[in-house]
Amino acid sequence: MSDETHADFLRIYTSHHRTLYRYALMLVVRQADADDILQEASVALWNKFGDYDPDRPFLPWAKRVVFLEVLKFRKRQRSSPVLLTSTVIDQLSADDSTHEEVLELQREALGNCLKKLARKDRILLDARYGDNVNLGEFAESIGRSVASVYVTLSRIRKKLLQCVDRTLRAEGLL
Amino acid sequence: MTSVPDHERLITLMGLLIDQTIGADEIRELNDCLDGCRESQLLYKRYLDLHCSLRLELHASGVAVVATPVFPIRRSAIAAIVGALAVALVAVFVVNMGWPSAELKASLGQFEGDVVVTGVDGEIVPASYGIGLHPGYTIETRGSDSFATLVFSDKTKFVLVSNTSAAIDENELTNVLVRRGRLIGQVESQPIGNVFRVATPHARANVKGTQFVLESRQDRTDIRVAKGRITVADANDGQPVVVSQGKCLVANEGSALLVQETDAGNFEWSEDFESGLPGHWRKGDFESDELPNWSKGGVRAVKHQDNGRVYYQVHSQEEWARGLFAYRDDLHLNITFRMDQSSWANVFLIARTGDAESHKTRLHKYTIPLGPGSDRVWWKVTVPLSQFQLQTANGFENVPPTQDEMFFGMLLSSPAPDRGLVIDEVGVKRGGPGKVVLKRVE
Repeated sequence: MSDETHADFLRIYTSHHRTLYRYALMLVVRQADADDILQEASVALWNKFGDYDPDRPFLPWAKRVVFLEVLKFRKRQRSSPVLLTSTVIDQLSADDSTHEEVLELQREALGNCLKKLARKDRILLDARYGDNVNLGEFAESIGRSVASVYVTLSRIRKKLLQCVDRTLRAEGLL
Repeated sequence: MTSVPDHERLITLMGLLIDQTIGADEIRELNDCLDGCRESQLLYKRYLDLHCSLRLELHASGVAVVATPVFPIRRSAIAAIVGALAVALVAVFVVNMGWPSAELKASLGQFEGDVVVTGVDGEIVPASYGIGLHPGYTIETRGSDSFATLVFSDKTKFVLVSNTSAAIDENELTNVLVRRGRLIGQVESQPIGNVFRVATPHARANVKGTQFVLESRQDRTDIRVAKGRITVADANDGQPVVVSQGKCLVANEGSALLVQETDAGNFEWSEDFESGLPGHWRKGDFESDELPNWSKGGVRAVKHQDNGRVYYQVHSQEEWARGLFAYRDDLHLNITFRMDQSSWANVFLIARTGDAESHKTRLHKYTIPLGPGSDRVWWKVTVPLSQFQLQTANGFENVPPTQDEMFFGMLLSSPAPDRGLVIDEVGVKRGGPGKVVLKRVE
């Protein structure tokens, strides 16, 4: 592989890294697992980059490679409890352009929905996602049990989903 | 396979799934809901994508948790508030009048991990928040994730970072001996004639009204002053030197004390291994064969086991107190390296915030992928530090380093079996292409 091809690979891989990460996370759920899979996938993509046809979109091709790494990962982790069955993973991994369009619009709508959240909800969400905070300690600091914080988080995510739904309906996607 | 997925129930199950609180029965139920139902699958994808977006977006926006509690206060907290008011009143008294007895007291403050407190007669004192620490006590933090805080009644605070052992002098509470390890000190202004003395096997420091960090190793002690100044003498009580804010004292066994400008003002660092491995190099074997023509030395990765997994690693020296370099947005990492059998390699940059308050280590990662055709070829990779990912409670996130970070170590890790990772040169420089570049070295 020439230096130019290396540069091409790194450029295209870096620009799609987030999408591939989202894809891996959807299939394995745990962030550390998604990290491991993407590491292996980066090498596998390099391995196969010579087979990649630049006239075709990179993402579906790369997702397929990531999917194969997910399968290998599951094989290696056979002793760990399985979250999703092979059948479900297989179905979720199928490329679906309608689903992709919905997800794209959801990401765009999310910013506005976040602004509409009540202040206390936003603080809790920031503690869960925005800062390197241990949720147990956070729960203790506000005098609540961890279980009740999880329930509230679930309610906030549901609220965000409902807010996004309104945008998707307006676009005729739901 | 279920034909009538319950929307509400599915959302509940997915919430449990991503918060990792889901049980075996619920996992089965979730899979049943998803199997063969396109509508449920779309909802699942949306929920997981929302979760991922929140992680990426909220981190990217640099949000912080607001300290003011806006949640309803539980009734049971009222007693605590009354107590806190009482404490506040006492605190006002103390600030204005001093401690009634004027006698300093010390106790164990926040701590985490394996912390062992030993009493005067060598008996183990169970570590718990607020226990009194008395002359002759020893406090030890074991393991890489542990820390312990020694809090004095005048608000002076010493944080013993991981793998540190310190003892309070048998006769004097204000004399602290750091046998080994890393310590962050925040010493309050002392009345005339009073001073805290912090000693290591190589140096004795008199501190008052000072913030500093200290690292004591087998053959050397480093003390970096973040605020104020410290007077330090060597272990034989020789001529003392004054170390002022922003400077670092190096006390080498058997050598004169040396005061250096701190590396917080340094933004570049490099090692070429031409004359062997630098002092205190943590992991790696010196390599002198099969190097590029111009090179006389490199470092080869060695086996390392972590939680049952095997890696091959190169780990630089760790300059925890002095730092290797401080962060700036235009910094680029350059590594000239080779692998006998190509694979990925993770580069970890190890940092802490430059102030004297934070004891947590920050880990930044970048993965270098190497595919076929790259075996036994020398490569030079250039990576902007802004493209490294930060380790958080949720894993590694796309969060660049910040300007208050001081990098004190670097680790390269490749997977097993041994890929023959050898590094010829490594360094960090200001300026560069602003993107990742991987080039063959001719």
